[in-house]
Amino acid sequence: MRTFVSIRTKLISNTMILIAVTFALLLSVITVTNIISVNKNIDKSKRSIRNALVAKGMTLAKNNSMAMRGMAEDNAFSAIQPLVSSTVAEDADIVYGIYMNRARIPWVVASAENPSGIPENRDPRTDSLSQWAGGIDQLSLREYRTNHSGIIEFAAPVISDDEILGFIRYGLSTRSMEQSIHDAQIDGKATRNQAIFIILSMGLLSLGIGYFVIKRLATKITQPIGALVNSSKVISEGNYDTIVTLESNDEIGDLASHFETMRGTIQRYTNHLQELIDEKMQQVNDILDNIDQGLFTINLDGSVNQEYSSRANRILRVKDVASCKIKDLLRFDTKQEASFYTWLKLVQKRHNQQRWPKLAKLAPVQEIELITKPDLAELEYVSISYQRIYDKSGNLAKIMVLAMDETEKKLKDFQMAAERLKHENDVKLILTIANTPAEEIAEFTEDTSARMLNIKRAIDTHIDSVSKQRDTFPNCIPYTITNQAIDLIFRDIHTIKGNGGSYGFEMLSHFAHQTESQLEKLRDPQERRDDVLLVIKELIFNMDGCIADIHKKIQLIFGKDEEITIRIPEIRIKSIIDISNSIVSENADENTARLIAECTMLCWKPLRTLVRKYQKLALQVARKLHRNIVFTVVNSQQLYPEDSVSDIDEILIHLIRNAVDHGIEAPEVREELGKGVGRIQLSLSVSETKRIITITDDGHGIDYEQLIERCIDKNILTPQAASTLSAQEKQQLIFISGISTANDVSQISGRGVGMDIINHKITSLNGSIAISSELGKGSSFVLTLPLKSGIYSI
Amino acid sequence: MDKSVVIVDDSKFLIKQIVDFFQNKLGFTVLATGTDGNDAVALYKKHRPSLITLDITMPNKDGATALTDIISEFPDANIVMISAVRGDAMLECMSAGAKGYVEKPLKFSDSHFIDDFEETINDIFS
Repeated sequence: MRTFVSIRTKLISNTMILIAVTFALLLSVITVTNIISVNKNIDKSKRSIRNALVAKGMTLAKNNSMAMRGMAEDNAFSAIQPLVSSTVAEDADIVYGIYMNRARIPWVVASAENPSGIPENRDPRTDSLSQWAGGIDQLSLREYRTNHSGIIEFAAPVISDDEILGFIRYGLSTRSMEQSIHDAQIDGKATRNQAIFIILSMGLLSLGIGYFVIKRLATKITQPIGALVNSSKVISEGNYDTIVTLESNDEIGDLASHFETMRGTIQRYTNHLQELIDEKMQQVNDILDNIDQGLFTINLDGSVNQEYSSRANRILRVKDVASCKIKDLLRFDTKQEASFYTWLKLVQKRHNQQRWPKLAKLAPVQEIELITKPDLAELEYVSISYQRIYDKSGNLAKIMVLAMDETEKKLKDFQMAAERLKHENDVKLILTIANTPAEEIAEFTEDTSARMLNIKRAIDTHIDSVSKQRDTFPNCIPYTITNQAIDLIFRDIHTIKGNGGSYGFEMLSHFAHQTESQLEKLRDPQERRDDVLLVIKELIFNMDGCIADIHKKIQLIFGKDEEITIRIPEIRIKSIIDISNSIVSENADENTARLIAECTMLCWKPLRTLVRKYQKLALQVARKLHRNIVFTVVNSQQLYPEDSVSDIDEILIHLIRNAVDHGIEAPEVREELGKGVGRIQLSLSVSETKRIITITDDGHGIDYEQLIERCIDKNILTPQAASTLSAQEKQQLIFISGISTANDVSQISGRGVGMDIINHKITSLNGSIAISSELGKGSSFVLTLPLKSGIYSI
Repeated sequence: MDKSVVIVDDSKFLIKQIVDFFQNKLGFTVLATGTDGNDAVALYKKHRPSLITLDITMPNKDGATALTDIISEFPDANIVMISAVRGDAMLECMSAGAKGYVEKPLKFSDSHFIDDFEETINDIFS
């Protein structure tokens, strides 16, 4: 982290420091040299002063000793005394003067306190100094200090004829010497201080002057730099238009001019670049505009980007895609919005591990319906698909959303689906009609036409009367539609509904049912009768349409190969059969045998007639349980005696009920399994010795594992026994009473009581039942029975 | 790579089809099968297969719940959803950690379907 310190500051401070340091150095040097020289001088003075003092002292002592020789010889005590005392008195430096004889007996002790010099006593002096002085044999000195000052004692022996007569001693104070030295020291100090003061003031002055000078200089130098810094700041912010005007006749001036050149270049370059980008964006926009799809992009957080194809506005019916939120563009409800963001998160997380189509399929919105004209309820269908967009480093950056107008396609799809449905209905219709004997169809159409006539007449009457009543308002004759009248119509409609249903004419039944509901409304006095009547008329019109359709199909199927039929009372046929039977035929010729056979077969019926009731039953049960089935009969035209299956009627009923109920799965389940409409098939084959009736379905099949579990549950089998069952034995389990694998006991079957009764019945007829079943594929029940007593040869 | 699988679906018929596909087409070892969410969790814990397939609509405990149960205990579990359920539920399952999904009805006779199924499984192990 560097803190900004301007060049100016640096210049100034460095210079100041330089000056300060220089002066400090100078100061120290001078101070030190001064001190040294002063000390040297003082020492020199000290020495010379001392030398002077010593010389004085020595001279004094020596002179006095010589002068006193004569006096000492004469014992001229009175001459010595004034000499010494006056010497002491005259010179302030001399502290004391002492003359003592050989025996150290003082003759004179002169001092400031005792100017006369008369000694206190005449005892020999015993102090150490005196002892020393008494021991000298030539001029000597000794130095010592008292409380006051230093004293140098000069002692000289007074010698006469090589004999020491006495000693003259002068003590000279070093005080004045010291004083001089002291003075000299003070002078020296004063000089030194003066010098220091001068230096300091000079230093401060220099600093002051230096500061101003440098400041000015630094500012002058750095000001262009500051200007340059400002210019470059502006440029660094992207503004290349400000010219750098800076003139300076130094390196900074050069820098500024180069900078200016650089700015110009960058400006031109970026302008060019901007032009290039604008050009490219224009190209991209052109492309987007020309794409016939609605394209826009979103970021991974769901925000909508600026770029989109103009067609997107039209397709999504917004003014400006970029200003919309994704939830508005794709018409999310709250749940879808939450899911979308969940999906975005999933995409971000897993787009590298999952294949894109699988991921894209999970987006909550794959198509939207837009209402274009609310009153006309016109819809537009838009399909939505998603693509990935990567950035330069190869990371997923955005999602491209494609919106395509699929209205036409969708409408075509609807049309096709409607047509397909119509086709299926037609096929169903045709199959149904084909499976029904011509007489029955004729009966149905006759009955239905008659009833439709009644109904239309009644309804028209009611409509007329009601409108007449309205026209003569307010003087109208009230017209009531009685419950009885409604009942009459209801009965006809209901019969048509039932018949239509049992023959499999779904549309007819459907319209009849709706008519019934409308008729019920008529009973309610609150309802507007004319409205209801009109609706009923419309429905009847539709019913007519269905009936006409049925007629067409009938023509298609029966029309071409219309057989010539005559009606003969059955009694007469039966009498012919009896007579022919009574002709004993042992020696009958071929023709007679054939005649007898033909007569026998007069009352035979086609298989489809014989099993008609089972077909009806199957369809009835299917309708009740909401299963989708077709019931087919193999070789339905084949003629058989009427009692071919009459003895196993109960069995067939039960097996067919089972097939629809347990066999055929619910439509949703069948769809999940990829199965279409359920198929139930019945077949009869006859040989010389037996009849074989088969009922097959393509439903769920028998779950033997579950059957075994139930047996174990009900303690019919032990687990060990269960594991060793053969396929045949497994089949037989189904006949055990109380075992039903039906998970819910429906009112149709499922109590587990049926199959054992069937088995019992079959056995009592000397027949057998075989079951084959494959889980998920279907089941097949094969009944094998002996022939009946009638003659079967065809 | 350990190619073991546990298959869970409430339709025994479909279980057979799926088992057949994994064994014969993809070369997996089918360790166990189950019919509801509880089976799914228990069988996963017991066998720790390299892959488990889950139907969504199942009795007792559905596939989505079983998925979160298994993932919470075994965050690295490889789970594939096989279901007829469309829309949000499948998205939720994928967000919750399922590694892939296959849509019912299972059209084993359609080559596109087979390719998609195979790819879905192979992607998990690549």
